Amino acid sequence: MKITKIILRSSLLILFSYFMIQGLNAQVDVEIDKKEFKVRKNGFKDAWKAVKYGDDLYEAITAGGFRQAISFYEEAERYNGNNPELNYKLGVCYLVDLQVDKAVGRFEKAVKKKPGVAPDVRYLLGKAYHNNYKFDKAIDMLTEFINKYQSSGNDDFDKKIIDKAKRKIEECNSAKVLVESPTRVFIDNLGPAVNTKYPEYGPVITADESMVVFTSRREGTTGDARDESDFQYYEDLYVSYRDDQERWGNALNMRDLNTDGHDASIGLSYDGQILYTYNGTPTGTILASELEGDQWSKPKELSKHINTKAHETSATVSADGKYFYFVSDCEKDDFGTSSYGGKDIYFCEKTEKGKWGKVKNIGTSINTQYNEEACFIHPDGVSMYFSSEGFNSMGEYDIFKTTKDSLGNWSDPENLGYPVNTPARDVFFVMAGSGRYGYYSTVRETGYGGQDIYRITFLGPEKLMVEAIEDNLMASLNATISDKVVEQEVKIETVRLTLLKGTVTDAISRQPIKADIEIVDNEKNEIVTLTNSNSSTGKYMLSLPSGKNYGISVKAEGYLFHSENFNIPAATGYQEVIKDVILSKVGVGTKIVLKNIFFDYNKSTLRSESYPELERLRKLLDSYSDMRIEIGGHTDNRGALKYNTDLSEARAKAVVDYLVSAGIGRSRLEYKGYAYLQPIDTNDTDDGRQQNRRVEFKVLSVN
Amino acid sequence: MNGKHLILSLIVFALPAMIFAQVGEQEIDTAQIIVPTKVVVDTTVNDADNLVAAEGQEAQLAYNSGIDFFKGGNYKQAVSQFTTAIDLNPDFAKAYMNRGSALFQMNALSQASEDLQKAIELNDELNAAHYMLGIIHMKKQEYSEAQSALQKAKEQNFKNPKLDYYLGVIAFMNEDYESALIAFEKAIKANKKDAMIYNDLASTYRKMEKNDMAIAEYTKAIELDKSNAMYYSNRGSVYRIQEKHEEAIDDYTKALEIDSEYKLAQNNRGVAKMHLKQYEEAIEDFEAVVEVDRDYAYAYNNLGLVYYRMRNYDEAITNFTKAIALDPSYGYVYLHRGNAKEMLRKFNDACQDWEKALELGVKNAESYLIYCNQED
Repeated sequence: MKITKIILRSSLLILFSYFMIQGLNAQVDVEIDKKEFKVRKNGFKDAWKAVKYGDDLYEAITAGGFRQAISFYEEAERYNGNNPELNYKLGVCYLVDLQVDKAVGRFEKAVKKKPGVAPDVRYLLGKAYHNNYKFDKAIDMLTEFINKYQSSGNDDFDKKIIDKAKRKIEECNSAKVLVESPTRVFIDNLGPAVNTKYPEYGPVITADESMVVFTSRREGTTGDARDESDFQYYEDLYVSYRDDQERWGNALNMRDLNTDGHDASIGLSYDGQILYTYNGTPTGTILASELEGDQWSKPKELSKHINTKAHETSATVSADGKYFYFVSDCEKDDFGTSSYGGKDIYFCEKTEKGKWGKVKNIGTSINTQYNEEACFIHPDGVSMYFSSEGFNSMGEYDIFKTTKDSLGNWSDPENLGYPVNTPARDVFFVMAGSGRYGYYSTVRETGYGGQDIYRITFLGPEKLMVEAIEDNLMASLNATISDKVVEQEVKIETVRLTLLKGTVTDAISRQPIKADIEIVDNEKNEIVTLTNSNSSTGKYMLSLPSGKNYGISVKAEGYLFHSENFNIPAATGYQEVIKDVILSKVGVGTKIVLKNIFFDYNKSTLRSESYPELERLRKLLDSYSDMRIEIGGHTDNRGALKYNTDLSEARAKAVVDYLVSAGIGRSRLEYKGYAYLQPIDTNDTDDGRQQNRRVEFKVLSVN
Repeated sequence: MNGKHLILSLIVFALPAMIFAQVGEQEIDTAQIIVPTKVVVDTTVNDADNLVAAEGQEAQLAYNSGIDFFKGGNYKQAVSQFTTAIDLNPDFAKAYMNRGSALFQMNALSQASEDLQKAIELNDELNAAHYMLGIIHMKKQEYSEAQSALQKAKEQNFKNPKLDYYLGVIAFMNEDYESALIAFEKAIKANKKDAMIYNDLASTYRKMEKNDMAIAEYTKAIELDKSNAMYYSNRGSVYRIQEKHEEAIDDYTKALEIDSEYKLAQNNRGVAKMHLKQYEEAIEDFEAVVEVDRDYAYAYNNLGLVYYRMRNYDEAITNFTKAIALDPSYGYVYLHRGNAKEMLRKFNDACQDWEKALELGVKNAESYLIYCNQED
């Protein structure tokens, strides 16, 4: 058999096409015999020319080549539609181009006309049946192929295709099960503002779905050129924003990031501040770009132990910034563990110095002997979505979900089911913070052409429906009796996450401020994450998994820090909270509420969860070494005035004593108990009273 | 013979004339247990050669007259005579008892109940009165009271082959299936040919989830009485529980052949067909039910379910709405309607229905509300 060298191309889409073409076993060379092709004189010359043009493109063994070959072969087919070799080749082209109906027809015709037209025709027909949801026919055909092929030879090449056929049968069986019990979803095209007749894919979103960045190969690409390998426009990055009415705005070319070559999106931080892109030349490389104000920085390659000489094609970072997950087809990780097969998912942890540490294979609960791809870590930090050709995939890549437990072990991946997954490759899936909406790219009838970007609404498991039945069970009575309904608990999966977002602005000018935002676990006194607001918009977004008492401080140079407390019980489901922060410049009379100072009930003993806030206050006083402040204690209006005055004063003093013990000069500190005389909220409600129970500090002098 | 007292002992044992009280589709046999007996009356012959009651025995005479009317089926007259007897002798316990019995035959249950209670008050040993009172309570679905009264009759050695049976029925209605089982098995020993008892025994097994035994006993009931649609229908329901839907449909069909308007069998057959995905046929069954009974909310609920499974959510909602209009407290229908609205992407409307379902006690609805504040 003729072996043709397969050349790796640079675009992400082409990369997937390569693996698909490889799966076609395209080394098989089938020639159309001129004499057999000629059925009449009239039209033969042009038809044969078309065959030759088609063959030239076909033999390039590229997605573009196969696609382009279609029109020539179709022309030849109009002259002679019965030639088995032509039907075979057209079938291959249609299969690559995902026109599976047509592929089935051509392969069936080829086999009927000439059962031995190509050694892999039954395999390809089985594949086409599979892609066309005719699973039983696919299984039969693939079994026939295996039986025939196994008897014909026994070299390594044969073994590979036999293994592929066997795997395809497994996929068909998985498909039957998954199609029988479809997942309850709505799958909606994002519409013409985002999608076009050209391919759109690789969507990456912010956790609140306010922005989507994706890859498109459309007219108007930077450089306005086409890739010779597939004759499609070069990839460019696009962005679209969703308005208050939930409508996607027209996609905008990200000119400051795009090049004349391929530029593909592979990851976005949940707050939309860091974009990961893919560069396929010479090998797959991950780059990162940061949003500074309203400009993206020039994409920078990640470090060499992430970007190896192999291909790295996917990137995702946990919301706390501690873990970086990516895909590579490298042979080993930094610990010497070999890949489990093809592409695997790896990760590294951020070191104390803020660099990415050693790369580690994520392990066999996720990685299989087949390829894994397109990993995405949810803002909750424990749910990962990825694509795999293994497990119970119903065809090529399917999208799976796995969850990490408290010990760091990943659960058995769960197939997201049909119709999210199909017999074709399903990759590039991301999930919104809510856990209810996912985004991915696929080819569907409702599309505008080629791959489009879709939003999936997950409706959860089938809801309870109770049949109304009754019987006369006692012959002597008129009473009808129904069986008692035992309500089975319906497991509605919900993400336990709070998305806190808003803007940071100057108290006077209302201009946006780039501020440092620190999130602390008050109970453990540990920094959970450090981030900042955008300098151009003042926007920020924080992901807070449920089950912790968070202290949040917002700081900027020349401003008093702002303090917030979010104590989120473990059972709290997904919620979005908008909190706009106004920062006041350091000046006499300005004051802030210290929301992360806690006391034992009815006492002035500081609880340990207060220490992070006290430390922030100490640092502020260190920064402004001449600043003098007053710590004011406040209560709600329950209880006598004297009692509240004494308590609030004692509490204020406790704060002062702590600061003194931390090295702040006593002469800089004053304290006072205001009892309930300066409320900031109503005392008629629980929430209002809670707001009134507070500690404040007021700037008495700055120098 | 003149001026002499003739003692007439008129002791008549009432023949077990079948006096029935209609209760729904079956009949409670009360007559066998009532043995109205005349009282001994001293008589004398007056100048006209007529028998007259001896002085002070007018009450007994009226009472015996009442008995005669009772046995002749003339309950109104019987009541009148018993009333006369009571007027003459306000402590005449048996007169109260039999007046109560006659009123029972006239379906004047409240008055009958009063009389029987009065009789018992005067003489707690009247086991027949306890029995009849128990029957009345059962008719009124006052099962605890029924159980007490019948149990009292049993303790007083009241002999009636149906006593254990009724005790079984009451235990069943009180969901005490173990006791019901014991009582029905005793009743069967006394009434081996009574199909009704086998039916009720089967129903008890069904409630205890001993479905194979339930099938066996329903089959016995059917063998004893092939003309009773209820037995077929009940057996069909156990097949349905066992997911033997074909067998269930066969039995429901037989029930309908006996009684074409037996809506329970028709409704249940529709449900079985729904399980076999015979949706069009299921719709036919449910529509036939509402032809018979326009106000049968269950059928509209089930119609809604079929259309939901056919993904015709508009039609599903229409039917659920009809069910709600007929029974606004039917929590599950609100749940179902919410589910259908969700499939039409009417999330806010779906949320409202789920909230209502939760309000009406459907616990599952709570988890459906998770995304209600977040929807478009």
